[in-house]
Amino acid sequence: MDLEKYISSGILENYVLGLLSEKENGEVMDMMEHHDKVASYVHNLEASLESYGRLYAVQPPNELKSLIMDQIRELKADAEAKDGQEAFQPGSEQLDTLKIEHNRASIWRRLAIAGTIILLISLGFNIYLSSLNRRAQQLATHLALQNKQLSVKTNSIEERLAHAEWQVSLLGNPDIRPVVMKGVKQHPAFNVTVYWNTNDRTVYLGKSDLPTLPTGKVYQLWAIVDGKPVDLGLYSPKKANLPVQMKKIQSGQVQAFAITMEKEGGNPTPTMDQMYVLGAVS
Amino acid sequence: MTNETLNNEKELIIALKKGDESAYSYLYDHYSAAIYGYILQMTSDSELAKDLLQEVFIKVFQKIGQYDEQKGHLYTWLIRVAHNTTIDKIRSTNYKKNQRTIALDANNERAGNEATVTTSVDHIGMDKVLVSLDETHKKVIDLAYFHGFTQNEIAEEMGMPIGTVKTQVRKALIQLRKLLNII
Repeated sequence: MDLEKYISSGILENYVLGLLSEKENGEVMDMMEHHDKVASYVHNLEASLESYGRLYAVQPPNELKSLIMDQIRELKADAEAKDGQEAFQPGSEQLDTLKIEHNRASIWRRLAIAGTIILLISLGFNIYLSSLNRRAQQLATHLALQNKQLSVKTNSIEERLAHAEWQVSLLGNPDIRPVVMKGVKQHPAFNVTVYWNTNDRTVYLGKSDLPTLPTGKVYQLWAIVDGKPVDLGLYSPKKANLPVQMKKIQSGQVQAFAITMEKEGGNPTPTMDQMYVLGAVS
Repeated sequence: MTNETLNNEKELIIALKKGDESAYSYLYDHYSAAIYGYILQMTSDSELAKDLLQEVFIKVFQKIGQYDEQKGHLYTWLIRVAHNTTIDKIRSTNYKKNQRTIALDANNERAGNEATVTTSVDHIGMDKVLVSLDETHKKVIDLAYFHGFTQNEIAEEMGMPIGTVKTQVRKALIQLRKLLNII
């Protein structure tokens, strides 16, 4: 092909203005590669277009430069972090060192990630275990309390049962004789029963509807033996669970039983005007 | 790397390919006005042009490895990147939706831009080029260079056969080169 004719055909001008098809572009590039004259002609055309284009140059707003430079710095940091050796194509001997360093870095990175994951799992497990433990402890405390309550209840039931059994056996004893004491003039509403074992002479306070006592006061049970009051012990309605065993009557003819209100600790002789109930032995 | 060493285009390209930050700073200082002016010619929208200029520099950073200096000037390559980026944006549906509003603003923008261009041209002392360039020649160059028209589109726009477009392109560039050589 005649080179001069090719150059003056207009195809190169159309080439630099981007007016050719892909196929024609390829042909021009081919020609440029093989013929310096064509290449230099094209480069001159490009230079002209550059000069022409620069006639329309407009200074962009000042703030754009720092914006763009920031973006480039970011892109560079990303590219370096992503894959140093690909982005900047170092020499082959550098490449090996880089690879080793990169591998070492990636091993550390992997180890760090693995470590973090293990730590997180362990933390999660610890939290789970500690919550389990706390729940178990709460349950244990609750059960211990319940156990204690049950055992208290059981004890009290056992006591009451034993007491009831004892009461049944007491009342079933043919030697036992009940004596009902009635309220005296001042306290007509009250009734108290004593059980008296005529054989071993033990006295039991059976039923009582006596009122609760003012502080510092106590009820005292008396037996009238051979015309004289004999102390049979103290009784406080709050504390005692009836029937309750009182003292034995040592000897003599038992004529009656009576209850007076006395000062705490009792009295050697009954205070007569503080008598509540009185019952004669029939 | 200093500006003196960057003066050589070959060294600039090597530094750009290495990702050298100061090379990009140099590139910006020496090429951004041309690229920005080019985008403004294509879009007549300074807000859009600002976005596009940023996109162009990002693409340059990402694609500089593909640039082969044997095949053309750095400037030509940069303009091609700017051209493709702008065309992509103009074709995107988002831009099309807003095109009407932009077209309304465009007239005002243009007035401002022309003032800047004139100043720049006066400074360089090449306004004669634009004044002396044959109107048909200027239009052929502008339609192809700034607006990416095909031969068919230029033929239609200017009401001439395709064969004539081809020869007009050659004549236009020859006149342009002559004018550039005079100054």
